Amino acid sequence: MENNNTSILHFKFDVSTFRLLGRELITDRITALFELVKNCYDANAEKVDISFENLNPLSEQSRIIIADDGLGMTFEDLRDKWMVIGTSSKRRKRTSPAPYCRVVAGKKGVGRFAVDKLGGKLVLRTKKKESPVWHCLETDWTKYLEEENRQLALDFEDSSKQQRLFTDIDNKYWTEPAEIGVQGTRLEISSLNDVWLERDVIRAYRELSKIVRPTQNVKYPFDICLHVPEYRDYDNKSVESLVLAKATLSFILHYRYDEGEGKYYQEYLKEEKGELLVKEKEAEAFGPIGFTIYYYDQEGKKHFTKEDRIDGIKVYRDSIIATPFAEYKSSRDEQKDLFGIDKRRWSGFFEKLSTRDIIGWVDIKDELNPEIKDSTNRQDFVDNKEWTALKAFVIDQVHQIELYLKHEKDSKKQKNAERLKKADGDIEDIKQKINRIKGQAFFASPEVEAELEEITTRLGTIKDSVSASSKDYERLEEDKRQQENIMFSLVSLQAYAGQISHILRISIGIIKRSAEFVAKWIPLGQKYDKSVKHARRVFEEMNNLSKAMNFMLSYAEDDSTFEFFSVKEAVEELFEDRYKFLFEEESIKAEYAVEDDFELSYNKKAFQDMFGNLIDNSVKALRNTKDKRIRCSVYRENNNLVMFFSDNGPGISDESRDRIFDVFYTTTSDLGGAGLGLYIVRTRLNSIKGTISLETNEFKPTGATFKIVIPLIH
Amino acid sequence: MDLTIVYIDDDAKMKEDAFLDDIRDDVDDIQCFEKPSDGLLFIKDHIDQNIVVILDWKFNSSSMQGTDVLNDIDSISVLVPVIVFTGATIDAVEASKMFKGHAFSCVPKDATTGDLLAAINNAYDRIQNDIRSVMEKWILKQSEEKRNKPYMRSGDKVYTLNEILASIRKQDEFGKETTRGILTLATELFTNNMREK
Repeated sequence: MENNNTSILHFKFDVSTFRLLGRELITDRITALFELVKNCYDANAEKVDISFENLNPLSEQSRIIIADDGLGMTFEDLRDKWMVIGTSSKRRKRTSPAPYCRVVAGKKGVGRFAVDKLGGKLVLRTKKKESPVWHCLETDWTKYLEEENRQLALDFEDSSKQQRLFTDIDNKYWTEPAEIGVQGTRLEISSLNDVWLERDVIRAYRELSKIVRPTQNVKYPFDICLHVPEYRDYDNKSVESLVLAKATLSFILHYRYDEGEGKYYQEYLKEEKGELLVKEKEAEAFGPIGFTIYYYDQEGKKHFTKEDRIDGIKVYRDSIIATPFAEYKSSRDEQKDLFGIDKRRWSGFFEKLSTRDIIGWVDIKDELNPEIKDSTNRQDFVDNKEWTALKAFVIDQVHQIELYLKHEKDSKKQKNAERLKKADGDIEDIKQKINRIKGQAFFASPEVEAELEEITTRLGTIKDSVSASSKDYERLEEDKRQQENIMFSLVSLQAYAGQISHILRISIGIIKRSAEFVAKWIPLGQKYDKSVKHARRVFEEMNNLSKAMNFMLSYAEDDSTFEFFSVKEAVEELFEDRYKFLFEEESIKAEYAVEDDFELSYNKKAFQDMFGNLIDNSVKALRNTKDKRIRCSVYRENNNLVMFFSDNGPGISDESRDRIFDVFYTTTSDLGGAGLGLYIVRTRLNSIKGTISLETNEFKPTGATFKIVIPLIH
Repeated sequence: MDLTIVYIDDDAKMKEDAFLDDIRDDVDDIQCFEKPSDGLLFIKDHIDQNIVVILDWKFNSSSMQGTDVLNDIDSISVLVPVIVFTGATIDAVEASKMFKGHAFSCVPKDATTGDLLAAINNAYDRIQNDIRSVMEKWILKQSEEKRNKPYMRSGDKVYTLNEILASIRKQDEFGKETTRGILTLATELFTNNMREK
């Protein structure tokens, strides 16, 4: 039933409500300043100047002026956005206009409250580039304050007639002529509420340094400059990004054009004997690039806020991000690892960098790097040889930093161990010296003798502790080495498990469908020949499956026992069982020859794992080779086992020759290469006084040949 | 089924798989290719036939991967249904590549022939029922001469049936607009008929 007395009531918004809201949202003046500068960032400003004039003591001349060169506002923006409290177009759009596309920092539409927090009066001047005038607006918050006080003084019951709402108060608007082409917004705040001491300015500086982001849109700088004539340290001072200033290591690599030679030269990082050097070489096929990289250790990471995270290496083309799909994503898993930096990580056990440790950007240009192209789905780059080479370059540079860090860590460890040993020796020295003094100190009083006795006893206790610590340290190191060995074994299992599960799924499918065929057609008495064919297929595939299963089970066996085993049998097992399916799957012609049947005393699985790593590497290297071949020959020479292992892949480039045995060095990170295989081989060989070396390739024209030597008595 | 199966898989032994022997009598033709480029060439040359592609996803002996083949088929015609047949574990990233390339469905390599056949039947149904495929078939039924004559005007441009066909296969703006137009017209005719009754 309709009620005839229906009418409409509106909420009213009085001045005190506005002020209450403002106090809730902006708690202090540093936050207020921060909010206003965030607005400049969102308006695509590249430069913000913050001037503090006559801060201490306060006077009529005291001012805070925030001037930016951002997009500015039109009259309509001023009227419909700035003057409407709580409006934020940023809520709807999460990024600032292109090409900056900054993730908007201010989201609440509370900038106006911020002004109120800083001072009583505001003169706002703003203009868009194409506008011939500055739009000027004066807001006198003191008028609002007066109105608030007046209302508070009124009798509440009678106040309705005399009530002036927040929206009833006048704000003066005018225009001033301006040059076309200039843009920006300038807030001039006067009638300041508080004195700004130097420590307040320091706090403001620290807060502002958080806005200067290292991770996003670095190609569009966002520079903040403080002008505080009263505090000289902060006068004309640029605000530096806190996080970039706190990087543990940072490198900027350039390139140059040699006019005489008509060639580009590229700077690159190279670790040499514990030093990370910037060297120069001729630019690679992908063209010259600018490369900036920052590394953070745990201490450095503490300076990052939740929003401002370390997120790997990006590519900028002609100053515009070329990989928006790789930009910040709330879920780490959704974030694209363009260069395969994380794919190299098999676990968190190794000293290896991930996208969580580095921030960087690669600068390319259409003109200089024409072959680095976006793929049609714009989700990646076209996978050509230039992009592959660029990925390899970036991965290599990350690897150089890893080597440097590893060297630092190792040498620190060594120094600590030496220091402990030295301390042990020093204590012994002191003890002997005191004993000598004691022997000669016939003149000493009984008290002194007693003191010396006590010192000697205490030194003895300290010496015992230091010796024990030193031994503990050695034991810990040994434990760590053993853990690494277990990890190596697991890594090798992980690689194999990845391959085997793929193969198993295919085998199971073949068996299933063949069995289904037989079950369907035999009862119908049809397709007899085909049924026989598929019954046979089931049998063959089951054989393959059981071999694969046996190998997997062998991993459950103990890894630490040494035994005498036949080298011939061990190699046969690898080629005939363990890797047979893989060779078939990859269409690789694999040959092996073991000249003599002799025995080796070693852990058989470890021996086979070494081969396994070489085979895995070859399979990856052969992926684009037509007539794929692997060859292994083993013979005895004096008291050594000598083995040559070859493939006819593209071979190993001169650049990589010296580095292939380094830990984490890989040229196949995109295929899940961890750069561990050859490192494991070398490490395991070293532990039994064996060697591995790269020889002239047996297969022509291209290929790789390794020579392994293992002493038969060790 | 009036259907050609194009099976692209670099694993040679898959050519002998039971599912191919099982469905051989139910379809017009089965063509197996180890090289993706050969398969693509066949699709291009036989685009006028009803084709369902069964595509391996990880290729060991080719620079092309499943996602590239999918995109290339898409650029020939979006109307060719592609069933991805893979032994790999498909994560969200890989799945997103498949969706973007308009894969029709994805069947794991350990599936039964029944599963594969169901996917093929669904794909065939789409060929039969999709308005775009129906339009494609109608155009193909016309003589070559008729297909090359101006057929309709849209804006300033005059289109032949062959040009309309190309647009429908590529689903460019004009192709989409024409498809929408035909659907609207068909609905209009259908409801008119209902009103008259």
